Order: sequence, then structure tokens, then C-alpha cells
Amino acid sequence: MTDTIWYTRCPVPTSVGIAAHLGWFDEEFAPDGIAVASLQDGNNEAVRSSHIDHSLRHSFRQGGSIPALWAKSQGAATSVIGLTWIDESQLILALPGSGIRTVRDLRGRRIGLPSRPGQRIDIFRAAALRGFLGALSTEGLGARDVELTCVPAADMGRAEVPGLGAHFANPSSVTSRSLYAAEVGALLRGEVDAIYVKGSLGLETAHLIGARVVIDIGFHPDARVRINNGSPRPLTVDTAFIEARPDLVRRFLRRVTDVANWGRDRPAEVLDFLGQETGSTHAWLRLAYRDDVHRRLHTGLAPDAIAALSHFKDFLLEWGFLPHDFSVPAWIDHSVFERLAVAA
Amino acid sequence: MSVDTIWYTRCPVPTPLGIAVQEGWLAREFAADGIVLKSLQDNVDAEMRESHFDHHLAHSFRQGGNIPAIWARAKGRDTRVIGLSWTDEFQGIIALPGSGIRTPRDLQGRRLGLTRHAVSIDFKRAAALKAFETALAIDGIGLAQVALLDVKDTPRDGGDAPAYPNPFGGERRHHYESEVAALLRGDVDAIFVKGVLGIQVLHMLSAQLVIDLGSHPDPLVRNGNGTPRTLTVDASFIARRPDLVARFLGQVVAAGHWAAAHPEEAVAYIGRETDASSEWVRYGYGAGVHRRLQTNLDDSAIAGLKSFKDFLLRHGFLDADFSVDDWIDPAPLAVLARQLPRTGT
Repeated sequence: MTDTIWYTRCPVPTSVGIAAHLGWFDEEFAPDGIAVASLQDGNNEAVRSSHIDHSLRHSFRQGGSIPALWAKSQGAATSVIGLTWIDESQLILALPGSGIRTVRDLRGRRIGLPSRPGQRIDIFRAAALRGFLGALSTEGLGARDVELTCVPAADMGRAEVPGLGAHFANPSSVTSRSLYAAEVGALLRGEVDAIYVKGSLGLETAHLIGARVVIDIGFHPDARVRINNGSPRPLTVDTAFIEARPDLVRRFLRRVTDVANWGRDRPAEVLDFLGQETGSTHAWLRLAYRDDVHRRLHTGLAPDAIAALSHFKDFLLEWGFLPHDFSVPAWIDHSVFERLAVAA
Repeated sequence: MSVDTIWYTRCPVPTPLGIAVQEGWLAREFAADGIVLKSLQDNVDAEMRESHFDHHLAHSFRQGGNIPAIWARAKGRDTRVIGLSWTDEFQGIIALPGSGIRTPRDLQGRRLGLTRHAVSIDFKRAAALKAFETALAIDGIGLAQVALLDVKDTPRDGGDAPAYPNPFGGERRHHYESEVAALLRGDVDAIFVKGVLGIQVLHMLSAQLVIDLGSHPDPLVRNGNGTPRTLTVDASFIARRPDLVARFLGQVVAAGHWAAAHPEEAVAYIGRETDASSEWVRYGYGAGVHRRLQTNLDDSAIAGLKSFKDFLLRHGFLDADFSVDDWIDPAPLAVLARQLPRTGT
């Protein structure tokens, strides 16, 4: 018996986030007497931590791939039923006066990697490392050519701010604004020479501190350069839920995939929702996600996206972020999508 | 006297004048007279743009922060205040987490950052000083018990300038870039930031909010560059064409009424002026911000204007003292009151 379906997403552009804002999940499952609840709304820490470890039953997650890959690697019984690939700005920032103008100038310099030792999976450290390696690779450089420098970030940000819920549909869009606070501080104090930021918040961060963008790899023609936590993003669900109620999983996925068609003719509305997810204005969103982001909300299981996820898993494993190896193709469950096609 | 152009200027903050411009009311109001409305923000040379601060241009209205208006008046510029608007906003003194600064009392003996700009009237510096003085006074602390430190605000240029894409076109630095850099580098222990941009900075730095003066119950604590904002016009324009001045004011007043009746649109407008989403606008200016765009000459707003003038005089920002009462000309507003309420539409 299923009385609640949970979902969670990152404060970034996702189809799940848009479907939630549109009220589609409530609409879909209300006739069944099933409540649809966001992990972000939960007051229970165990519920919220499922955003990372996916321990909750009957729960969907669309967001960064690092926690999803980590959860699977450490034994969470999840399946990927869809992938979205919404490219976004991914910037390497330095300060004017640092002498760093191009990727080549990063050679021998201190690369800032945020470190949150208390966390089971250090998502943003992995993402920053990947971003730097992607940027360095464009000039044939690698990790050995730079000095990887730890930026303690454990104490920064994500503090609960009372009353945010009264003003914001998604309070995470506010608390997540401090994501790069530690890196920015280290850069300005001269403890590191370059940092990695991404998305609309990343661009706003560059503006705030008057930085130099060394490179934006977010739209690099070679996908291997831009594959990272957000590109692509998996839609995961607990496997037991697929087995027990494939019908409910299929209906959820249907609502998520419908967002692509809904958004195609609604650029302004899509940006409104992305603004509620990220806290950014349309102008910054267009800059970070490009003018056609409303046409890139597709959720599917494209072979190149699956290959990218597999490639990224290998990177995380190589750098010690994952406890165990596993097969990404075997993690993908095509059955829900196939039933979707039959039902359509 | 024939008038072919009326100039206006306003700050990138919530102003009823901005709404009247955006809705096209001002242009329409004067189109039949063959009068063109021109903004000081649009394609004018630096000398003309300076009128935003020194109000030297004839036939020009300004609605914005009171510091430049007070300064221009103290310099002898013959302007009149014909309306005041008081839109409360976030006014935060912020410090870094781990600095040990949690309340205004903790600022004692610490270094407070005051930007120094190479401009005719350093309104940001004055606004920050006012905030520090007011916050400290709440705990009975004087400015002498803190270290006021200059934060230079010189745009970097040449080959090693900042380089980032931004949606504004051309170069537009973040309003608080210098303050933020000084705080993060550890040059200063606390800075002042305000409005929606200020509260965004608070969150992006994960900073400690020491005090939000903007939410204090005492209006004289909330008194700042933007509280109240002045609507000023050159006195000679009132003397020669009181009819045009009253009609201009009528549209600005109507914009405040329109905003109160159109919350969503008013908030979206403020978002465009301040580069913030509607949610952030309500967060930074209050859920009732659409009702706080009225232009009037309320006693409390006049009291705030006087208090701020005294503050600026006390700290040497003004050339000379002057009478705020004499500066205010209630006649145009009185003309409006005698007419039927205008809708602006």
C-alpha cells in the first residue's frame, strides 16, 4: 500500500522541479489518495538525507549524478529511469591581477577544491575536481600540472533561515546561494589561485567578486570536457517501487517527460520556474543555461547520456569518491520508458 | 514659457516614478503638449548625467535616494521637494561567520568598512556610516569606539580587468564588489549592504547578519538614503509652469495607487529595476512592498528627511545647513488633492 510518493530535486533546472511547480504530481495521484511530498519540505532529517543516500521508499530523485552514483555504489537499491542533460555554464574563476588568463596559466597554480569532511559524499569537491580536470584537458594538462588545494567548507552555508518558506516556493533556492562562499573567500584571501563555479549562481558569483572567467567549459563541443554532476542528471527511483507498482512509477515518469513538451512554447514560464529553483533572474538564467533552455527539458535514456554517466562513474571511482564499482548500463531500467511508449 | 523637454531620473530601486515611466503614463501625459520625456539614464553625456546627483538641469525631476538631493540643496541648488516615498528595505550590517560578531555590541573595537568613491557626493559611504552609527547607538556605543576603515572603490581597468559575462550589456560592476572583497580578505570586520541586492549578498557569503535596521520598529532607525526617497524638481520650473509640475506629480502619485492595486505587476517591476526575482523582491522589501510606493508628504517622512540632513551635516557631507521645511513645497501636492483622484490610466 502506497500512501505517499516522495520526490526530491536539486536547486537547478529539472523537469521534476517544474512538474512539481505545475502541481502535476498532486493532480496525477490525488485520485488514488496518494500524497506527493517533497523531501525538501520534510522536517525529518532522515527524510531529507534521502536526497543524498536515497534510503526512502517510494521516492524519486532528479538531480546531480554524484549522490545518485554514490548511493548506488554503497548499495542503495535504486534504478535510473531517465536522464536529462541541460548544459550550463561551468566556470573556472581567477582574480584580476593573478596573471591567470587562460587555462595554460593554471599550470603550477593552486586549484581550490572545497572540502566538507563530515559529509558521506563530498559532492562539490568531486564536481570542482572534475571541472578543473575538464578545463585542464583542453590544453593537454592534468592534475599533476596543478597544486590541488583544500578549501575547508564544512562550516559554510546551508544554515536554516526562519521564515524563508513564507517568501520562497523552494527555500533551497535561497540557502543554496552560499554554495561557493568558502571558495570565494579562499580566492580573495589569496589562499588559492582559481576556483570552479557553475550555473546561474556561478555567473552571479563571478559578478559579485569581479572575477576573471578563465574558461567556461559548460558548452564545450567535446562532451567529455563538460560531463559533470549536472550533465547529465539522472532520475532515480527505488527499485522495489518499480517492482511493486510499475504503474505508479510509469505515471510519475510520464508527468516528468511531459514537461519537455509543455516547456517548448513557454520560454518565459520555464524561466519563471527556473528562477524559483535557482533564485536567479531570467537574465542570468538565459546567460547560464542559454536562450533555448525551455527546449532542452527532455528526459530520456539516450545512449550518449548513459555513456556519459558511465564515464563519470569511472572518474569518481578512480578518484576514490565511490566505495565500489558497478555497471551503469545494468543500473538503467529501460522497462518504465518502454511501458510509457506502449501506453502512449 | 514653452517647455519642449522634461527630464527625469531615478535610482535603480523601487520608485513610483519608475513605474509611471514603465507604464508609459508620463510620456502619454505630455504627448499632447508636444513635450518629450527624457531620462538621464539614457544616452546622455557625463556632464548631463551628473544632474542625477547635482540636479543642475532645468525642467528635471528626480526620485531617489535623499543623500544626493540633500547635498545638492546644501550646495545652494534651487530645488524643491514635492513628494516623499518611504519603501522600507533590508538594511543589513553583515560580518563573516566565525568573526565572533553577532550583535551590534560585538562591533565595539572592530573595523567597519566605509567605501570611498571618487564621486561628487559619496552617498554609499554616507549611507553606511549612518547605518553603523544608528546600529551602535542602539547599544549605547559611539562611532569613536569602532575603527572606521576606508575601502577604496576603484574599478580595475586595463589588461587585467575583471572579465565575466553579464546580462546587463557593457560593464556593470556589482554594487557591493568592493565591500565584499574587503570583508572576505579580512581588511574589515563588517560592512553595510541594503535592498534586495544586499540580502542576496548576505546569502551568497553565508554571512552573519549583525542587525537588519530595515525591520526595526522605530522609523528613525530605519531612516536611510532610501527611507525616505525624495521627489525633487527645480524651483524655477514650479514657479513658471506649476501646471506641468502638478501633472507630473499626479502620475507619480497615481503609480503608487496603481502598485497597491496590482501587487504582482508592481513586484515584477521592482524586480526589473533591481535585477531580482519577485520572490526576492518581497523578501528584500517586504511582502507588502506594493503598498509602500506611495508619494506624499507625511509627517513621519519629513521627520526622517530632517534627521538625515542633520546626520549628513554633522559628519561633514554638506557645505552648509539649510531648512528642510523651506525646501519642501507642498503646493503641487495640494493642487492634486483639490482635483479628482487620477487613475493614471
